[in-house]
Amino acid sequence: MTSMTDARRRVDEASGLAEVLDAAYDAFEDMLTAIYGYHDAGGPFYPALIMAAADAANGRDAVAFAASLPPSRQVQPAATTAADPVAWQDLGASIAALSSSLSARLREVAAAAKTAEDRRACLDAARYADEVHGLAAASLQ
Amino acid sequence: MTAPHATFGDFLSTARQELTRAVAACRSVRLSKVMPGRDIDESRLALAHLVRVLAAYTSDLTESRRRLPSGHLTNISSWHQAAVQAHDALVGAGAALAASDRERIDTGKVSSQPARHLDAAATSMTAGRDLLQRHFTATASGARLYRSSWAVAITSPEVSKGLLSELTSLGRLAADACESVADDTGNARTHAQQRLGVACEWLRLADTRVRAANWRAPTSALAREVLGAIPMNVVPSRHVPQAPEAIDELCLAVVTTAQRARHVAWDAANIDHRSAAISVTSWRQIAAANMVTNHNCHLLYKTLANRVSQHDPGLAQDLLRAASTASLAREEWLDNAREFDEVTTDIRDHISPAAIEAGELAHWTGRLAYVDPEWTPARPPSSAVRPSAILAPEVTEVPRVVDAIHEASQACSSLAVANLEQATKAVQADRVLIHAGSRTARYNIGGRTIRMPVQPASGPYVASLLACSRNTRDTAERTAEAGAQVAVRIGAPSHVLGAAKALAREQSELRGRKDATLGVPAAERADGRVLGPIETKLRDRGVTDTHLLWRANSLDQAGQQAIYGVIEQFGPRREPHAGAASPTRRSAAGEPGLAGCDRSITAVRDEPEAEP
Repeated sequence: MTSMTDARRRVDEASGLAEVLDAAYDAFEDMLTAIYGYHDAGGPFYPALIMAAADAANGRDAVAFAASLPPSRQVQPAATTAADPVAWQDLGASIAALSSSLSARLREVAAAAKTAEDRRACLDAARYADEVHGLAAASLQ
Repeated sequence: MTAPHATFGDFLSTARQELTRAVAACRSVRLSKVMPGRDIDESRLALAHLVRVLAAYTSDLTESRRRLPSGHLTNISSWHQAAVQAHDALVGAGAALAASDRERIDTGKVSSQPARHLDAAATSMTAGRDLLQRHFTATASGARLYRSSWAVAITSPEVSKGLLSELTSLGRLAADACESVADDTGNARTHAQQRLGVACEWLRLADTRVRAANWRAPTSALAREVLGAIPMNVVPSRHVPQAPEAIDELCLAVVTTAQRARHVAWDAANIDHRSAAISVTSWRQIAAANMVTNHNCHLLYKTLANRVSQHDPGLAQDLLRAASTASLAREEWLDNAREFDEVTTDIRDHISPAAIEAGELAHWTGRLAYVDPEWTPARPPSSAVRPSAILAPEVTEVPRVVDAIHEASQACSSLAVANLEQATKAVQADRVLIHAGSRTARYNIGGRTIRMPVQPASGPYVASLLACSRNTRDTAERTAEAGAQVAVRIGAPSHVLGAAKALAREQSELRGRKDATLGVPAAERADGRVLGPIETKLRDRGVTDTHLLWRANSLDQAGQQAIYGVIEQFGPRREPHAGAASPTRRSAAGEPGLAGCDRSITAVRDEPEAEP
């Protein structure tokens, strides 16, 4: 769950389009790792997050096609160690919080983006973040 | 519940009812007085109409034999002989009735009661043939291609036997009806009555031939059931329950959604590799939704097992086995979803009809499995499962739920095939991409440096993606089979689905064996195209280059042409039993009116068929 908290902090603290995109890409990846890790650890089947995983992957793809995504940093392979069991409520809450931040930051930088390609990528990714948030938040009510 | 729309069986039974009424009406006509100008002529034209329709069916059944060279009439089964003979007899009946195309019955003006029923039967069978034809399409070269998953079952030997039996028994019924009119013993027979009488003889002969074949190799009752269950090849209307908590309504919603999903999955599997509808977004949604559907099916099977455990422990065991396979399928879809998350495609953000129906299926199976009438996948994992006493208050209500779950499993299986087919085509067309290591790697394309965040997926990614998709397809199929076993055991309506699939599998194997008899092993793809040995070899080695595959396909076709040429020149290969085989078509000398028969049916490829 630390990765989700860290990812959210990075998203919140990122400044400028490139940094937000960089943080967003990793945040979507972190969501995928957390969701699959949860099911690998044998938690109760969580339909909302299973559906949310598809949206997270779509969001990551949208960010990947943004022209301003920094090219320099190498993608680090995801950790393959077994995840600790996590309560579904905790996982749902952290994903809801992260996706909410993501959506807000992506829309914010989309408004300031100079190219149509970047703007579209940010808005598409924000839309997928909204989908993730909708599923995760609704499952906690 | 399995068929909320018209099936071929509906048209068959309507035709049978009309002919039964025609028999009764003819008897009453005979008791009163046959009116030559009305009853006889109208009956003749109505019978000619019916005979034309029945002959169109038998023409479909014997069509493939006409394309082959002459001299290949040895070693065919009694059923193939019966099909050809029945067709000949129907053509003979048509010739005896001597009704030209211009001399057609005017349905609106028919005053004779028997003729009206005969004509109604013909109309019903015309609609039935149209229903069957819509499961096929033709290429520019005239080759018949499958347009639905039912098409393979329709062309299976067992269903063809069942169809032939139904056709000739309808012909006999029509003959029984017209006999009274033709044989008006009170008066001398007119020329028209004589012609009607000859036609009746032909119809009886057709039925006798088919009955003889049936005696030697009986048609299975299940094949007839499959024949009757063949639906219209249209997407069924969506069913939204009026009473959200009524189990019947929910089951119907699951069944119609599953049927819609199967229909669109077939289209998705047969899409062109360049289609913009191939998108990773749809694959992901299908994988995620099917995970949820399989989880719901797992819960439903377990609930039903609990319901019947006291009454039928054996059934409870079968249900638990089905629950277990659904659980395995869920895990397989999870792996598949991960694979789809690793890659992307050149076109994204397209949600296919198959993906939409997969989502709907997850939704409706959840409404059935959980207590919450407003359940959606966005509900918490702790949602209460519907108690068994509410899901099936009476044990007799278990089949309707099994029907729905089995239909859902079959749909998941079809969706798995669609995803695999699309992924395979996308790989072959270099449309599956992976994120570049440095995210936005630079490529030199046509002398220009282009920044690309993705690159075509390489061997290991492709192999892993396709292997996982194949595993998912296999597990989904096993889950559907487990559902079929339960459906057969308790007589749920969906048991015909399992039977149709088994017949389709037999048909595919039979086609493979036939090609093997020519020394050409073949593999059939979901689009009905048969791969030759060279192309199969290349694909097995992971070759995806479209040009290489095209060359391999050309070589395969050239080889097959050469083999057919040899057969043409030197005759078919002699099998050990070939000497004992009877000629394919008996000489029809002495049988009335054969001069009018279709002489184009002169060639039949060797088609040895196992008979008891």
